[in-house]
Amino acid sequence: MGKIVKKELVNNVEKRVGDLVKENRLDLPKNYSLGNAMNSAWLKLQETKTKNKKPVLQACTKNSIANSLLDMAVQGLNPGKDQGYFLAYGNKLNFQRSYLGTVSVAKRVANIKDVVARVIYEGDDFKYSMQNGDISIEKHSQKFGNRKKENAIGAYCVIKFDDEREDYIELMTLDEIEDAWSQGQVFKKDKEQDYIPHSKFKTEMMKKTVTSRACKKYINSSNDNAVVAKAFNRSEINEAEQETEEEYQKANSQDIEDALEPDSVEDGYTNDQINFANKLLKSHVFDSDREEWEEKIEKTETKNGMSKLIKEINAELEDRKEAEKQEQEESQQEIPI
Amino acid sequence: MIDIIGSGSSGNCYWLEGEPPLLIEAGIAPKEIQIKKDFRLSQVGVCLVTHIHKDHCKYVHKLLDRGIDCYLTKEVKEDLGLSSHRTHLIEPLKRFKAKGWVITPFDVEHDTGNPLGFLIENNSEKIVYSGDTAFIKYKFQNLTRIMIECNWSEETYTSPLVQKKRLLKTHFNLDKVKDFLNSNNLDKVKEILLLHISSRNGDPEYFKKEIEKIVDKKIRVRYE
Repeated sequence: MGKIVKKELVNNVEKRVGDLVKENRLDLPKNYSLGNAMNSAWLKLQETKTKNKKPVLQACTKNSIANSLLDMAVQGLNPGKDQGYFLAYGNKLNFQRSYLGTVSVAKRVANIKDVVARVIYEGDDFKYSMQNGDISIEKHSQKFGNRKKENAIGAYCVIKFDDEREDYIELMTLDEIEDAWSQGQVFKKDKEQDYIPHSKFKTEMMKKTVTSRACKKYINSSNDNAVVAKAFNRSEINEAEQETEEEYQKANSQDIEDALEPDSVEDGYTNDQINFANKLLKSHVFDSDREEWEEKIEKTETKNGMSKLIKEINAELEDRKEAEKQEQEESQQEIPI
Repeated sequence: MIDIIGSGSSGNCYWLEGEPPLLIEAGIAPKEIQIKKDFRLSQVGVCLVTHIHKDHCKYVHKLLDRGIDCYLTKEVKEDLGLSSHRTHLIEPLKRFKAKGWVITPFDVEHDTGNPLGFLIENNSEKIVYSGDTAFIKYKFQNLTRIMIECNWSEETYTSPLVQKKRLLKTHFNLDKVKDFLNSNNLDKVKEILLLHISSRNGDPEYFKKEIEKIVDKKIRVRYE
């Protein structure tokens, strides 16, 4: 792969976007400067690296870089405004839209004036009604003290239009939101995971989820902008590909016999295993706690559990020997000559 | 040894010959199984179910009524509202014995609660069954037969692009099947069955040829 020249690549993408506009297949937003977006994209690209810490401009194919720039431009997004970012997997570069990007695309293709998301907390006075399938919120009042993330029970997103259409409201319970999160690889339902954004910034993530859902409805049903919708959906698939690719690193790796639960029903362990374990325990490094280990052997009932225990003893043995060796070396150094 | 009674979204059921015979999945009506297997259903001792999608578990209650012991997860039991004493709860990576068989369920990647695949052994056979999954985490030794989903491939994909997002996360594609075969030792494998091939996004003949290219000639590759 030769060196990728900015001018050539950017000209190419600009020309393709220009053609789409000329053929009336694409309306770029009035305040969108393709040149600015390209420049900030290029800055981002220069600092983006693949998983193996290689610059994407060297590692990814020219074609995929051009396509990701095109996806960005067609959706009228600017990575400098955090409306999306570039991600590589393998030698393929993707443009991934952020939540801000989703809102921006929706505003543009569906004449949306404003998008507001709110979280509903336990104890809020929240009343809504449904008519012909349209939800309208009759009342939502809140005590300031209710706003604790552990009290969040749901969220809604209000889409306000430029024309006289009624506001559109998307309403989701916490349960539904968590189901949506479970589709990804990070969040697992019913598990405590304090360290991930879904727990740490729970209410912000809830707003994002309900907003994306509301906006997607308008993007995919807007009829005038097939080109944008296509780019939009492609970026969804890219995201899925990205996630599966990361998960797939685990594939075909662990031997099933090593993975079994220790109390798995199976024929009992053989005497060979016990003899071997006891032989390991004879070493003087176990002098202090040999009885505890022997008790462990006694308690183990399956072949698989026993082979795990043997591994454990073996590791312990090596660790202790190593520690002993170091101690000796240190004590030797201390003797003055 | 293995009969495919049904494979695909319209219903899954596989018959493994043995003492007693074993069924994997309950997605085909007992009536149909009877016809395909010369009315031998009463000989079956064990039925294994992988997950709650209806093409895999629709007829569990009927098999239970016929006195067949069904092994399934808590999720399937709750979803189907089963209460028969012939339902046995199983968990991933907990090996169990069922009549003449030793079964090891393992966790797989599919969009439902606690989906499983199975490693199935008896005196002479060691068979892996993938279930519905995007890939398998584990490796296996001394397999004699491989029953693996091969749902779709990039080359034969024809559905609208939006649906690919789900497929990617839930069903084996040809490339990943190849990876699986390449990373396991196939010395003792006699047969590879390609299952659950999508009618829209798969091409059985093409998949068979592609797999035959990478495995030993003595291994028989087949689909339904």
